[in-house]
Amino acid sequence: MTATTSVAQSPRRRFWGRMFKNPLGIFSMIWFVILLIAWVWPELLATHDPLQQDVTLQRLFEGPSRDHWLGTDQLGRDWYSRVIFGAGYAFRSILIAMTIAVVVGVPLGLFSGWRGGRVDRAIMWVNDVLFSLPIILLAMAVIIILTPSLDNAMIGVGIAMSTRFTRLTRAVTLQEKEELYVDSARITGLSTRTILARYIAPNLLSSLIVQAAIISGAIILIGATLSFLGIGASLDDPDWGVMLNRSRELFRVEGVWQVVPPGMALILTVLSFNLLGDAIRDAIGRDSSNNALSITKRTAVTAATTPHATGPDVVLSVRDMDVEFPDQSGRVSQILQGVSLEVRAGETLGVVGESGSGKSMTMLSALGLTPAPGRMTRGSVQFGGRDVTNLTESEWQAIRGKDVGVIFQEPIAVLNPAIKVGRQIAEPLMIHQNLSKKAALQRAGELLAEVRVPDPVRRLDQYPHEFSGGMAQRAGIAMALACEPKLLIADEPSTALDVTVQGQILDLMAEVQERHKMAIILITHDLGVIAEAADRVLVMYGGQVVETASADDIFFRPKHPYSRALLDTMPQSHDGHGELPVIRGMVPSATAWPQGCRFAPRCDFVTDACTNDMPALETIGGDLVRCVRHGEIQLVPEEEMQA
Amino acid sequence: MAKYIGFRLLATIPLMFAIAVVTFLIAVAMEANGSIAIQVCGEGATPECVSAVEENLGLDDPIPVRFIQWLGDVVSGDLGASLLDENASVAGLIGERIWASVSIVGFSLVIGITIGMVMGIMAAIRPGGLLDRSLSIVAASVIAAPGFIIGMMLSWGIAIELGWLDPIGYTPLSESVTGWFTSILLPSIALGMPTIAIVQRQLRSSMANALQSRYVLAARARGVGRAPLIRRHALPNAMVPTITVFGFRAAAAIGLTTAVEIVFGIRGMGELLVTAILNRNVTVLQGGMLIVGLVVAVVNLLVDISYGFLNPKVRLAK
Amino acid sequence: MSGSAFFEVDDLHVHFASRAKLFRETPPPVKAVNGISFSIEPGKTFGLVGESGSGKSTVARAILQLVDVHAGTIRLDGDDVTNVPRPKELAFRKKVQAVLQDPFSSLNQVHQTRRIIGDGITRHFKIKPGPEREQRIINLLDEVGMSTEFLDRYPYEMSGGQRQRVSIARALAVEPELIIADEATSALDVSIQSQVINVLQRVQAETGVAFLFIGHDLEVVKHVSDDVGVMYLGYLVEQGDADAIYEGPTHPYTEMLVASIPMPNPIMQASRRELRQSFNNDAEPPSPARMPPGCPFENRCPVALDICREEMPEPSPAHHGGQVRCHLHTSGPELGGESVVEFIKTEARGQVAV
Ligand SMILES: Nc1ncnc2c1ncn2[C@@H]1O[C@H](COP(=O)(O)OP(=O)(O)OP(=O)(O)O)[C@@H](O)[C@H]1O
Ligand code: SF4
Ligand code: SF4
Ligand SMILES: [Mg+2]
Repeated sequence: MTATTSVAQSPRRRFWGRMFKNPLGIFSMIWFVILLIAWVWPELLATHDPLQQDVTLQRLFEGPSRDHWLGTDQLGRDWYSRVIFGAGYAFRSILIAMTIAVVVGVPLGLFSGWRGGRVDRAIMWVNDVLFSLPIILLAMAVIIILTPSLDNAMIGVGIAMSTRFTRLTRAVTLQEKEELYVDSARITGLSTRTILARYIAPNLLSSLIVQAAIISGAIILIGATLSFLGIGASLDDPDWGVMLNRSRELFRVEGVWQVVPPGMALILTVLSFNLLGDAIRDAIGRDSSNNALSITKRTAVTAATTPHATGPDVVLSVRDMDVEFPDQSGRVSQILQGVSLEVRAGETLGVVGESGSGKSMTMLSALGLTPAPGRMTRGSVQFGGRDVTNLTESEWQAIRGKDVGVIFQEPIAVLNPAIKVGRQIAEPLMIHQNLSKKAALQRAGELLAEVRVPDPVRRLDQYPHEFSGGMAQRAGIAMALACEPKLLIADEPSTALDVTVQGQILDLMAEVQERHKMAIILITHDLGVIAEAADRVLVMYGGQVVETASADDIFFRPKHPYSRALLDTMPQSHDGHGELPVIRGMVPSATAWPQGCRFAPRCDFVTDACTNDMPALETIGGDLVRCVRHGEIQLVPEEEMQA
Repeated sequence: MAKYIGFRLLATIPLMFAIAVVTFLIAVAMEANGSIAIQVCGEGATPECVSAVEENLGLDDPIPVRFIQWLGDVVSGDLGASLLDENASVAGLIGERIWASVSIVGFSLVIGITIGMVMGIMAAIRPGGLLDRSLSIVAASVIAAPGFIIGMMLSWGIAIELGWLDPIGYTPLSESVTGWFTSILLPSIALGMPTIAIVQRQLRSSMANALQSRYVLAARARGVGRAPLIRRHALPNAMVPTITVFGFRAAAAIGLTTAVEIVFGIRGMGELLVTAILNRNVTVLQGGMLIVGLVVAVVNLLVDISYGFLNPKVRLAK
Repeated sequence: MSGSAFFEVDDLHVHFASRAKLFRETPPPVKAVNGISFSIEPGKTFGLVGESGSGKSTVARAILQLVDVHAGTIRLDGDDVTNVPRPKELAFRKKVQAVLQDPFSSLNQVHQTRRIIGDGITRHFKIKPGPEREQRIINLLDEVGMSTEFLDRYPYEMSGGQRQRVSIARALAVEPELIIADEATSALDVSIQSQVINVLQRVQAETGVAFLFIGHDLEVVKHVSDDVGVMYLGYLVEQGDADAIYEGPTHPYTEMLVASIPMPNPIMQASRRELRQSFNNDAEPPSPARMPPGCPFENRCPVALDICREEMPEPSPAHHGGQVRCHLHTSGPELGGESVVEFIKTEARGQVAV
């Protein structure tokens, strides 16, 4: 959970801002303005009467000219004017079909989704049957029952399209119905009608608009196809489909130009509707152009100024790491600033801090996994004495999974739902140790047994959704340990699990550390977990390291006011039911760090010196602390000092 | 898996039944507005003629009785005779034409899923890259173009201007394999191009989602390389929504082939249905729609089965 | 249990029917809540703890009329409020409010704070938007420690802690007698969690509202509660005075919970670890759809008796004034409601050779 963004734009402003920044969205909007004029007032745009034939028979099948901008057809009629008048038919089709589709589909979907149960299943079964039939076929059925005409065809299309709206509306209603805020509204005592109208409908509206734009395009396509087949608009009308119908024999003799004017009008219109739908969706939703594979382009990383920790037992050493993220408007926020840490073989380094303090980002960036569009702009990383700051992705591949294993917070989400668990555990063994699939699977079974998953051989053959959270986390540990790495990074390995299971996972980690003598970085927000497992502790706040010290020092002799305050707010630190000490204010956001010390707005010891400059990370006998007043303030009461 | 397939097969029965009901109701509705008799006897028909026709068609019986009779006939393969020509059996008419349509639709779907997948993966690998952006514009335009316009363009360019293939006609597979293939090639491409674009777009976006997921990040942290990451981790998950969309497109293609066939002068189901509508030839239309509906049901079944292969949750659900 | 309590849940059962399937026999219903009874006095807090899936939220949802009660009764001020009929619903909502877990999704994203809090005032006191309603909203915001600048904020413009305070203000707006706080602080950072807990306790001191406080963190629940109940797989396995239970649990599962809380003190934690490890066996809790006939904790219990596999223990009185559901108190060692800590220390050591 990230903290406030008090500068947040209103959704409406952001929506229009994004719409007008999207060139395809603008293109489609311009096209619609032209079409709308063509529909409402075609005479304004047309140069000829669309039905006026050339009685002299001199000017048939002409190409574009000054007089006939798009040439003439087989009867000498002006293509351009005919295309302009055709817009009216397209819009009329949309109007009829869309009205039916929305009026039938939306209420039915709302009812079905809200009602649920058997009624819902029955409605949706019938709906899905209709949904799966080709729309053209349904339109044909209506046409033959009534008479062939575009309007009648559109009744059929409307009915067919209503199934799309029913599906969508129901899906959104079902989803919204489960939302806690709908429960909250019921608890407040609001009536069902109010909830549907004021809670569900607004959230439904945006999805409906996107869907309607795309369906409008489909309606035009189907109308044109029917007219082309000769069972839609009357063969005398200047309808795009009819024009194409007339051209369907002629183009072989008279050339392809006979297809172009109505064909282009049709394609551009459908395209505009689709682009409009996409543009609206993009303007509403989140940006999905970045993914795990879009590795940010390499840029020069400014070297670290602090020397690395040395010694044969130093496994990982990070110095002066900055990580930046540009946001959509191009502003850059500094997510990590000057992060330094090191961890030695056999040691557990606990990393603690509140949500958004940069714990996970530190770990990902140290492994070259900074999610795009973020990037490391400064710093240096050494792994086993080797500089890995500028490794390529394929060089990293040889290290990740082999020399360093990672355990993530959400044990189920990190397992691929489509692959058997055994196969996933076997994967690093096949990559890094060149084991055959059979040998790797056998080893995977042993690993599962090692992390005490009951019945490991059967479990190998199961899929992740058959695992409980605790079992999935054990599988995750097995996977991270498969190649006996030198370093294990565990990002909140027990947070998503029940407290009774948490203890088991921590014990398991201690056990394997004992056996393999590896280094562990344990990320958590729970000081209790730190007290249980960490030898040394690193405290993070606002993307910075604020203190590192031995576990005993952090708990009994903290040097940074934040470390102390964090400890105090834990309910475990209190007997009785009295008021708990708090840290006032809230966690700052990366887009607006406070001036000077980032903890200053919440610190009880703040002075002017704190807010002028950012305090440096100072070394005090092997430990680090980032506080200008660390020497002068007394964080531990006298009596506790003695205890 | 066998159990799952069996279950899906059973679930198809009610769907087929529903299609039969809809088809049957068309005739009932037409009879209700009197248009059947008029078609046979002409405008201003004598009441005698009308009642003769209605008796002939068995329209006097109550509707459920007629439905059961009709269904019995259908199940035994008898779709009745054409309303306009008593000697032409509807089943025979359909049999003459359905293979051309099935060939075109089938081949267009093969083209659509294979090329669409390749292009979708290529676009997903570098989202926002040049290839991705150009493919997405091309795909959007092709989706907006109906198959029959693409068909006219192809016919003009490749068959007429270049003279590489025949612009019209269909050669049955039984006559000549190459003849069959060349005759369905252009129509299949015309019908398949939007399918390619639809598959490409969907796969691209679901691949992008899959690549953003935690399990892909975790796999990278395990040292899994780029190629296996895409092939083994992202693709199977991304295929699930893609197959859904492909299924919808398959059903739509079965309807849209009518127009494409007409561009290429192929006497398939399209021509049969359109003439039946223009002539209000209810028995032919009924039979034709029933068969098309059944093809759709089969396609749905195939889609469901491939879900089972892709998604262990679906397959293992009890 | 006397029938005169302010709020009382008596032998509550909630079942979720499995969906009937074609060509298959319908699986048995999932028994999410099995015969739970407890009561709350005015101005007091009853805490409910248990692991995820133990049925805590279902109890809350049953009281809040969001799921159907299968059997049992819920009474408020002596009135039966089990499955309240439509016409009486509004009166019930006036008395019972809730603060739900997720501070983001429990507020409607398209409404501002004014509306979120004001809706309930308009609905229950028939006060239309205007100066009077505005004043009430401002007073409520003040009560939860927020200034008027938040009136026009949307949920996405507030932090998790602020959103949760708005949720509390919304609940207070209708002046309820009982507030159900379902994991109301679980999604918050520690520093913010303590702020919200303090707000809840101050509100209780000022208005005398009763709380049903549900959480998975025994430390937090103990801190705010007068009495606590411990749930395991739909059963209330132990209930009684909060501090006394914490000091001397009478149910092995409660003891396991207490021992599992990591203490922010390395020295203490080192000794607690050993105790906790004596419990460790890697069995998973049974699936709620396939409950064993005996005690549901049997496969994880370090001191299970033979009878535990066959018979579900009945509630018996415990030293802390509450009740416990465990055979140890009536069979085997017959602890008679005393703390189970010492017994487990001696017994488990012998059994569970690690
Ligand atoms: N992909 C991203 N794009 C932009 N900002 C991001 C991205 N991922 C994380 N951040 C920001 O980076 C900061 C640090 O995030 P990080 O996940 O490292 O925090 P954390 O300490 O692990 O928190 P938690 O305890 O919630 O896991 C936060 O402000 C977060 O909003
Ligand atoms: S630098 Fe000042 S404000 Fe920051 S932690 Fe130290 S005393 Fe507090
Ligand atoms: S009843 Fe038996 S199994 Fe259950 S908790 Fe008590 S001793 Fe353990
Ligand atoms: Mg994190």
